[in-house]
Amino acid sequence: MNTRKALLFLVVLVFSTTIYGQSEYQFGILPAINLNKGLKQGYKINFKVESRQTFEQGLFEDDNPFEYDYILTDFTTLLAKKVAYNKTVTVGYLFRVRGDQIVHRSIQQYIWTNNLPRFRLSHRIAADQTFNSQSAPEFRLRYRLASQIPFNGETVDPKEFYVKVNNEYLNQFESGSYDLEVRLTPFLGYSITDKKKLEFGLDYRVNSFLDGPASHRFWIALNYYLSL
Amino acid sequence: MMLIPTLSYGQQKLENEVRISRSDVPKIALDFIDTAPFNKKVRWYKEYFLGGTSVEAKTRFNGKRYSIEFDSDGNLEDVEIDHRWKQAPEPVRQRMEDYLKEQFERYSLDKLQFQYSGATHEVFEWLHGRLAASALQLRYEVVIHTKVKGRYKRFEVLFDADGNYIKSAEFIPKNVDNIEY
Repeated sequence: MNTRKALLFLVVLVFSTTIYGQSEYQFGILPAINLNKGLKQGYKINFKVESRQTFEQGLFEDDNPFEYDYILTDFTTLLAKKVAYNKTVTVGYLFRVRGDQIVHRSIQQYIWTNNLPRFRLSHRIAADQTFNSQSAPEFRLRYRLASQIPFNGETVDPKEFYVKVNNEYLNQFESGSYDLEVRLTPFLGYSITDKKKLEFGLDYRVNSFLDGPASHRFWIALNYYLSL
Repeated sequence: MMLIPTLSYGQQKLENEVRISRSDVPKIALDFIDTAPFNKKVRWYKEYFLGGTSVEAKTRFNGKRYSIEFDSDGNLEDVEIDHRWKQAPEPVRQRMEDYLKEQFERYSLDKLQFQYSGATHEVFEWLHGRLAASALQLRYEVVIHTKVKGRYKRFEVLFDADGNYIKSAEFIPKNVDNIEY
């Protein structure tokens, strides 16, 4: 699916589900720090801390108050191995702290990146398995397309702005039920150096639209990438 | 017996291009492009490499991607045209493949450019179709990626018109962590 079709699909989803009038939403922030360290023999370790905090939530038609609420923090560690010049396989583990609830998730990913004449494209196929003591295991199969377009020239260079757009489709299976989640995340990025990047944008997620009013989440995201 | 020089891993190539406006382009480079027969939009870039800068004009012409390179003063250096691998003459292609296989065993081709150079007025006449390409010096610039001693690397390798190795440089890799994770 090309980007234009994906956007059209998303717009149709948003409008077709909003007219139900019962769609719920969350609005908040999603700051993340992403550390990467190259190891020997093509291995790399990635450590990410991401926190979710909401400011507003409820049904679209209600007048919901502005109310700060801390939700969770994720700690993710991935071990990546380059299997070709532009292909990487990763395995990892996510540890989620949500109040007094602890969530465990195992992760497997296959990532390949294309260098096109004026931008980069990265594809990611991933599977993850989520376990916690209070609900049934959840299994997800996901595909993400990420594109990075420099403001200037053909590659992102230090002290240069860029646009990054991610589009992801998550198939979720839990206790015999299926749900699809779609994510669209446009970011404005700034390359401080080749190893330090800062990104700011919207992380939009929609799910539960297959069999009822959709659930929308709008996160203001701030990502910091540091390669050691 | 043909002597095949060993690939030097010492030379490195930095990929750092910045878009510039026409007002930042040296006048002689601007004059050359403005009087060349290009009919599509021309984008100007300043390229930074280890030890200097150059100016580059990029456009499409006759259905192909053209890069016209000038030194920092605006003097023409060469014209590079993107081509498919099979568009290189078969014996030349074979010689380049033999060299690359001998050096790397396994590699993947990223890009091939035909690189034309010569006196500025000759290149100008050739672009206008008034001079045969054979009047110019032709070289082949090949970009490959491969694995060397357990590490994945990308190289630019330059061959002469007969497919003989001239020189090569290893690209300094760009960090792509932010679109992988």
